[in-house]
Amino acid sequence: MDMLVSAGTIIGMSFGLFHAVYVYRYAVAEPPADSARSHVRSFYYALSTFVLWALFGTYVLVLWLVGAVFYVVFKAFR
Amino acid sequence: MDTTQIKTAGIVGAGVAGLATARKLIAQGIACTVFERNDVLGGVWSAGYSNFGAQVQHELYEFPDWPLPDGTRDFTPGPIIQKYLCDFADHFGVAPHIRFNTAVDEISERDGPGSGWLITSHTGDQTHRDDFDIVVICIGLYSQQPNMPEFPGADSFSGIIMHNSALKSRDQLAGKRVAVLGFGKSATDAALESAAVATETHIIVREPRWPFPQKLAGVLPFKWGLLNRMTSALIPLYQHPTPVERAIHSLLKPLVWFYWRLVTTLLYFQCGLGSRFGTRVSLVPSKPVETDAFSESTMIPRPDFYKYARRGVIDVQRTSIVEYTPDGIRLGNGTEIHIDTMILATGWKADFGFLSQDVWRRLGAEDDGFYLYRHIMNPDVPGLFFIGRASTICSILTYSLQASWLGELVENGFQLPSADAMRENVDEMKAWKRAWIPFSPARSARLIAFMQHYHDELLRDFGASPWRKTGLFAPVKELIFPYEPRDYAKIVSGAWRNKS
Repeated sequence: MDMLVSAGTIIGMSFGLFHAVYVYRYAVAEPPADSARSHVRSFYYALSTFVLWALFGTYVLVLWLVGAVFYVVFKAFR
Repeated sequence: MDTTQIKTAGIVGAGVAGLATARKLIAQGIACTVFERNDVLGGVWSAGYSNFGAQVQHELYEFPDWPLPDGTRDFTPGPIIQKYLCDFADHFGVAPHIRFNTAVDEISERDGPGSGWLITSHTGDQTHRDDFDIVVICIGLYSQQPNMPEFPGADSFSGIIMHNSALKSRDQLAGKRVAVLGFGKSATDAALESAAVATETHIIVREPRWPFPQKLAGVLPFKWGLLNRMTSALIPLYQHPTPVERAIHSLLKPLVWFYWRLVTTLLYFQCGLGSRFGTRVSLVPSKPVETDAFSESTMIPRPDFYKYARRGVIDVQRTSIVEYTPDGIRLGNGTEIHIDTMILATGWKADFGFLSQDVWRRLGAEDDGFYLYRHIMNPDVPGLFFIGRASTICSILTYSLQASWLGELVENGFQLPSADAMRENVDEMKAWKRAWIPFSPARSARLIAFMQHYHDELLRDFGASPWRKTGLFAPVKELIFPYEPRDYAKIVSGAWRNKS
């Protein structure tokens, strides 16, 4: 169980890091662009994204595994 | 054309889209004339069928900066919306600009592309000819011409054949044996009206749709499961998906697939779709929910419909009509039903016959309609705009944002792409829709649950941030809270320019 939680959190953090970078770059380009407020806001959005992925990484992993099993079975019998 | 030099606008239609457009343009000092063929404003809300109303909660069917009165109930009845639209037109000074009882006969260019527009119309016997810098067509997807499919034997049928729009009171069906053809919102509404007073009610459906209950699992309003950014990322990929959406639909594909199977299971059991209706058939659609519910239209039936169908109060026949008989109809499954009244809830025909042939040709109309840049304009027909030619779950919001887009274009002249780039964008949209959205005469205008992506595009075009949620928890709200009209109040009022 601990291993699953750890794996999920690590995977979530990995996804979250990429997603956070994307969100930061996206948000900072949104109007009003290149203002100090925009950078702070973008950083906050990026940080929130990373935290959410880290928190829910295990759930995502479990749903992915369950989904993968059902998906394979469904495709095999279809 | 230089959109900032526009001084006059002719607006066709005084429904939701026409009112939203007129309000924006009038506020910018544009001289507007709104052509309305009826003697009241409101478009589809001015004269609906019996017991018609909005199919979404009240907070999803209101102008972003003009809320419905306090206490308005959900799934607002049509007459209340009609009154609300009249109040809107009075408040924003639109009403004096409407020319009632005036039908548009022809819209043509004054003297070639970009030269302005002429609208020929008539009020009774009096013909008008008006000159405008731009024309905005706000008549929605269809016309006022009912789509009435024909079947053999209609002449010998002794009962009444009517379009659902002619059903003005359930009393028309009292004591009758009624059949309804169709399975959209209006068809299920008509069947429920019939079930209340008729001796027999049948509904004939060729291919059922996945219904979205007003409350998911009987608890959660459907907007929480349908109108947030998280769900937007799980529906089939949009025309230009973000890298994150691409990753979700590739690396996380089993999760996305599993999510939709869970939704399928929920709908299956909540609505009892697996029950054996009528001639021992189920109402499980043949297409997967993520394709069916997010492509052609999204169906949110009244809760009683499936209950009545399961109990047999409404007899469901999953087949097609072969022919009329003298006292009924013969169906494709061999059944013959004896009826007095046949209600065709089969929608409306598209009719843009008032556009000149040259304009129609340049719009590039095909079997599935004509495709527009941002669902608003065609670069080859400068000065002609369409507001309301985009079908989404929250149409009043979409039309308001389209009107804001046009208003910003006229007031501030934001930079549009080149004509070639717009054509390329339109071609990509056409290819994307045709690749997976089932054919319909209005496929070109269908967006349904892709409205979040579409709204983002509109806002980004004129330089507003599409992220409208505010407060400390804004990032979380962006992800899981539903987007509603009120989230765009500052965009529509123009206050966003003061503080985005």
